[in-house]
Amino acid sequence: MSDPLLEVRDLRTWFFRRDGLSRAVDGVSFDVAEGETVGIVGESGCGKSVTALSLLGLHPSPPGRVMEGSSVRLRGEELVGADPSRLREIRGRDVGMIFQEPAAALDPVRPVRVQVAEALVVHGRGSWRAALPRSDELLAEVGLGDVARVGRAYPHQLSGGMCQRAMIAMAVACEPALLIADEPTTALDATVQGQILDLLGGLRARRRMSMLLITHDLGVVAEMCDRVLVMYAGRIVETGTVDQLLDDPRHPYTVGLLDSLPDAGHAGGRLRPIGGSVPPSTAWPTGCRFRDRCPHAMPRCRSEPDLAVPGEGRHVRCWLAETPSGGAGA
Amino acid sequence: MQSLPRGHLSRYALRRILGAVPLVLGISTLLFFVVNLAPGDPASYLISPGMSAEVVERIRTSFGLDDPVPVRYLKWLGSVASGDLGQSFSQGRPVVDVLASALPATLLLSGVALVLSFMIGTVIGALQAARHRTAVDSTLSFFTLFFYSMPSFWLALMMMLVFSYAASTLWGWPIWFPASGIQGADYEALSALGKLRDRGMHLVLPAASLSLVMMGGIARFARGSMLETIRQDFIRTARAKGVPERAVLFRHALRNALIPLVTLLGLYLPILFAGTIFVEEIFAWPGMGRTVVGAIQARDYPLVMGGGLLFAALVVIGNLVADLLYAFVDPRVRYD
Amino acid sequence: MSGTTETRARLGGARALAGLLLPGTAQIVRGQWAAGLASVTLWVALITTAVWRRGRLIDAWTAGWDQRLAAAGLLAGLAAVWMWGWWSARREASARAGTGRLHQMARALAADPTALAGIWVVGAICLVALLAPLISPFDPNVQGSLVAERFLPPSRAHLLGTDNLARDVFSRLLYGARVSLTIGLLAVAVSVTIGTLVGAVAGYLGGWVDAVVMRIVDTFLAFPRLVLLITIVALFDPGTLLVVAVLGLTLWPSTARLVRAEVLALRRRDFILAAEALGFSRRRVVFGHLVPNALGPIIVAATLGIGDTIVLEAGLSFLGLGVQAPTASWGSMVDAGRANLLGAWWIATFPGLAIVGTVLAFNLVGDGLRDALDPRFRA
Ligand SMILES: Nc1ncnc2c1ncn2[C@@H]1O[C@H](COP(=O)(O)OP(=O)(O)O)[C@@H](O)[C@H]1O
Ligand SMILES: [Mg+2]
Repeated sequence: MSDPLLEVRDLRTWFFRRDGLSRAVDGVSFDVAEGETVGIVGESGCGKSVTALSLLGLHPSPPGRVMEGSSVRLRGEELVGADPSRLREIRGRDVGMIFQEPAAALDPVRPVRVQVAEALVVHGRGSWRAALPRSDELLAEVGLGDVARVGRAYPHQLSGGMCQRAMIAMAVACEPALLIADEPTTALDATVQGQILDLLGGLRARRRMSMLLITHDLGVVAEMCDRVLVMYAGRIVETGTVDQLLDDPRHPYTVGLLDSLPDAGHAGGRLRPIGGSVPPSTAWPTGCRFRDRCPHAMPRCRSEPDLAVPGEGRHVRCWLAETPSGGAGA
Repeated sequence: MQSLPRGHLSRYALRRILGAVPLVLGISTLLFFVVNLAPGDPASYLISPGMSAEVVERIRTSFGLDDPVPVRYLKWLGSVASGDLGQSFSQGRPVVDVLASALPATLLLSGVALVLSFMIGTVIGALQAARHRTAVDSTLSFFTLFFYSMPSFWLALMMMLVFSYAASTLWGWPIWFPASGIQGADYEALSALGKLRDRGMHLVLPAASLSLVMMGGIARFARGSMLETIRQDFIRTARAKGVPERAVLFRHALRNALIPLVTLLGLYLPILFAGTIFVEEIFAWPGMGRTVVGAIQARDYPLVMGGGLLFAALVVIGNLVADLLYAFVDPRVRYD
Repeated sequence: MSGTTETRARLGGARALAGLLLPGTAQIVRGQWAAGLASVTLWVALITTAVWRRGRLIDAWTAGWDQRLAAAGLLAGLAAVWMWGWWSARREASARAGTGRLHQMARALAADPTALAGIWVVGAICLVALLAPLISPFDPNVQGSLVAERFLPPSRAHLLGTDNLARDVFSRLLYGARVSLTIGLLAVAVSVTIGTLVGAVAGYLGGWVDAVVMRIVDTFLAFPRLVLLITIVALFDPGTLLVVAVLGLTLWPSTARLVRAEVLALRRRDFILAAEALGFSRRRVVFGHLVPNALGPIIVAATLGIGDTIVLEAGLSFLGLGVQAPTASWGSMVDAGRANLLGAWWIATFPGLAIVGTVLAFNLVGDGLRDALDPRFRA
């Protein structure tokens, strides 16, 4: 098996805040293979965005810091502690990123086509003069066909969906090998969400990109991803292929997420939201962090299980998962 | 989506100018009543105890002081509207002439100070934001707060003491700056280049005093505005696409942080003119500030009112310019 | 069980005793450094002054009002520190944890070293202003020999030299603090009161009241304030009361604008809607609910406004339009130094430094308060 494109090992990003130490990301490990789409799901506040930002050193700092012992490798090259200028080269060229609030993510005082062109210029893909026509082509590729009008427009003159398309054009301008999408459709209308996902799917196929897709929508995961990581309280609690996870969830948290889907065929379509909410990141519980919301909590949960391995490529951080027959979803 | 041409700039400008009319009217009203409700009417300063009642009456009539205050107010408004600000007692010339001869010097001084203070202040504030929470930031914070807390008249005196008097007589520095006036006594005899140099040397201390004091406040504001901008999502986007840090700061952050600074420009004009009053007085700069202070000491009512009105008009015009500039730097502003 | 209560009672007694002997020690023992050090310092300063100037303290009662006030202030200060030290020593520490927004603000302020430094300086200047008649080495207004004692440079006898009328600059500086602080504080009190009233009413009522008020506010803000000030002051007869009134009556528009904005933002909040739904009177809604909730920004603006006002007052005095001679004020002292700037640099320099120091201190406190309200931009 060839080396994965992205290897993340024991990533810990902590925020040293006035109100205490926030261990927003606390020991996360995963791989993304070439051409693969990996989803990260979890409620908000679980550390998904911080994970994504930390990969390229984009987390707010101060107060955030990627702690010693963390490792992020892109095609074998270590990125944690890498030279800032080297990181800058990789950003946008090897790894593109898009975000949740497309309208806020664009510079309000510059026309959209200039912002797309900038992505090309900073990576030496030609002068401004050459980059502007190329940026019009890219805008056309993401479905902003009326380029003459849209390209010269400022972000506030475009709808949210159009802004997100422009962001995508910007992120894929230099043909990155990996696209990180942090809740790309959360802020958009339902109809637009589908269009954006289609666009991403098409681009991924045409350019053979890998994708890291962050979402809290399991429907999006089912549609787009090959593999899924479930995050809770700064840690990965379960991983597996999409089919494994949706058909046979093992961690009580994953089960809870699936059960709270209104249209899940699973569990007879009954809506059973998880009780309580994610604790503040400055006060994760000790032991299993899901303990106080878990319907199956037991004395043993006061110590945290390792990411247990019940089967091929599957990992579950739960004591229940160790006994092969005793799946928590039962 | 909006169509791209953003309305008509000229119509927008016209509407803003018309909107400023009530403001000018309000200011002139305020000024008129302050001057006319003060104890002792303008004529009382021209009247000496020995004068006959007849003469006194004639003086009063000649100033129109026989009319009731509202009538006088309307008359005054009428003459102001027609550009007649009356006759200056102390200088024996029309107020308009006096102000017209003082205006250029004030515009030169305050213009230079305004440009300098905004440039230096913005750069310092941006630097602080870029080095947020470092020793550079806190040192510069103290430095800007120090000048922000300083009265301009004292700074002007200290400048004069150090860079003019002490530098020339006490320490014998090779370069020192003249302490008073707008040009040297031998100005007319100088070559064109020499004239320029002479003017420049005379400008240094007054402009430096004025701009240092203003620079403090501007830098403080610029720092806040930059910090606010740097936290926004589009800065993260710029970094995520690999834009070098310096370009992130200057091309994206500073450009956006400048937008609220344009509003500050309008708000700073009254402070600027307050500063010119002191600085002109101290450096004997023949501008409006000095004229107004002299007029107040001489109880030259028409000149006081005219000067106040002109200062206010400059502020209003400056605010209009700031508004138009705002529309220019912020594409989100629509002209209709 | 009874053993621990007994120990605690004995400890409490010991603390109370310590608090009685040297106010502040009890707080320090308990770990309340800021409060403890403040008490101790204040106590030591007052006692030292009382002992050092005991002669003047006794004479004060037969001298003028100035002296009597200073002496009474010193004694009252001593008594207050004493009683507070004793009282707070007896209290349990836990009783102090307030939860309101203003309490939180105070606590954040106490954690900010630069703001604390500002508070210390402000406190020291207030103390100096209060005690000026007791501590100043010379009478600030008595002229020495114009031949022998004019323009004396700083020395042991005259710490900051003498001025053009052979008066002691240091003594005048101490007395000048009274003018600056009194006028600064009074004028800001006047303007904040008016501004809060006007802004709250305009913001709450809206409609044409708001429109008219904001027009007036805009007019004031567009007018160069100093021009207005010097015009008014020059036309009336200058004097302390006039300066306070005029400063106060021209500063309120910015407070009014601030309060109005706060009120407009608060109006839409649930608790105001609830108060209205309960049928509270308008007056009760505005002054019982809106204004108290806008208090934080008002306090910040007021603190920063004190600095501005002190600078303005000094400017008026510098132009000869402020407090009238011979009363010492920092602005007029700077003006006095203009005539012989090079030969007697100390006359203009030191009062200017006093202004900068005082204003800087108030601004530090104001910045600290603002950060305590909105901690995003801490330096
Ligand atoms: N800039 C920041 N400063 C301090 N703490 C932060 C910051 N950003 C995120 N955090 C902390 O990290 C936690 C995880 O945030 P995030 O990754 O945004 O969650 P998610 O994307 O899963 O909703 C948050 O609960 C918050 O406490
Ligand atoms: Mg997120």
